[in-house]
Amino acid sequence: MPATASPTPEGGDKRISAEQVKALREATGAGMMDSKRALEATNGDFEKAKDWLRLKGMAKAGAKSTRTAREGIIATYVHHNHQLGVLLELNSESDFVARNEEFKHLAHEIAVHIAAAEPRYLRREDVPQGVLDRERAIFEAQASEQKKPANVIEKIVQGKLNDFYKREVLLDQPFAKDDKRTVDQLLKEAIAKLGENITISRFARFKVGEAS
Amino acid sequence: MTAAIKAQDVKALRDITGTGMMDSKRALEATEGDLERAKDWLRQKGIARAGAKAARVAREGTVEVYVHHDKQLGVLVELNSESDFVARTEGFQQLAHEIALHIAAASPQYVRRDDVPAELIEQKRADAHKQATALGKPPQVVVQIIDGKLNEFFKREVLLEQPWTKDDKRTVNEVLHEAVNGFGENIAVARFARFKIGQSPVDESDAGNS
Repeated sequence: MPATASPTPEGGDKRISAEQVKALREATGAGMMDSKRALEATNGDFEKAKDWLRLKGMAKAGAKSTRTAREGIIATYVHHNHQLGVLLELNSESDFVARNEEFKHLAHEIAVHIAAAEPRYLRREDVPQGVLDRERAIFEAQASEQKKPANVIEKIVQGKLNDFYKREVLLDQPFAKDDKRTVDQLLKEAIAKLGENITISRFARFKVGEAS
Repeated sequence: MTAAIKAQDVKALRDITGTGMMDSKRALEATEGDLERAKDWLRQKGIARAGAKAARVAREGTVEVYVHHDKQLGVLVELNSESDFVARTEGFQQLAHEIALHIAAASPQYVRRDDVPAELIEQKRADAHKQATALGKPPQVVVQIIDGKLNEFFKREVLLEQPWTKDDKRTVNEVLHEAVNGFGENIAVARFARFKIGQSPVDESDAGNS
């Protein structure tokens, strides 16, 4: 047997690596052979290959972008009567921490907290400007009815806005099991303990009949 | 007393805010019968409390979850019925469970066609048009191609139009219709959430941390 010759399995263009094909498949949802042909037709140019697939109608338009940078777990809570449920994504940097029992426990505790405390937003930035404006207008009207001077009114309004955040924003809420700490502080403690960044990326809370 | 304030508005305001009848009436009078402004008026006067929860719409149903064993994928779904009686039956709970499993497997983005943003549909339409004309098809064929592409999109992304994972001869909507006949009352998927690890939109404040 000559030492040279195992033929390339599919006889294709050797410049196209298996990694390129895999990346294109993941980005577009197209099949392996189509992805390979796309790369061959475009001399391995990834962006051009994507366009080629779309033009040929082979890329799935809805292919989900695959972001695997963040690790973590999904936690759930359902009230026993099935009238209330919570879904939560808690992220860590490594798979190792995500599998840690303490991390799982934290995710569960936060899910239970969300069930009890009914937050509407994850962070302050998530509160729509229109909602904030409306709250502020109400607080200003309340304060001016009490005939306070302007600088006092502003302080009162700020105080009331903080109350609003504490009531509606998950990270600002006092933790249901121990209201000396906010949920944000709870996360910070976990970060210190587990040694890597831990974030809540999203949650959903459904109560029967509350859908808009 | 202003004649313009209707008794049903007073009742609606009371239901929403939990305030008394006279206060609700005064609030509506002060705001020319505008329900939203009346709500704010009641809060300004310190009569209604912030965060007073809206009166529950008379809908029954169940909330069901599914989590994949590796905890990398989770689904939350609300299935509504008309009566509490139907919501508590085992068959209804089972249906909710199967829908949650379907959502996990089929990853829809929307409950119904109406939930798809109009701009996105326009975008799909334009893409399909470009592709079809690039192939040099006559106009009437182009129209058919566009319709075909849009239908494929709905079948892929809209829960009610997806083929049922347990039996792809039927759509999810058809499965629900069969259940409506079986239970003798209206049944609807109100909403769902499907979380997969790492697929949430990247937040700028997180970006530097990972």
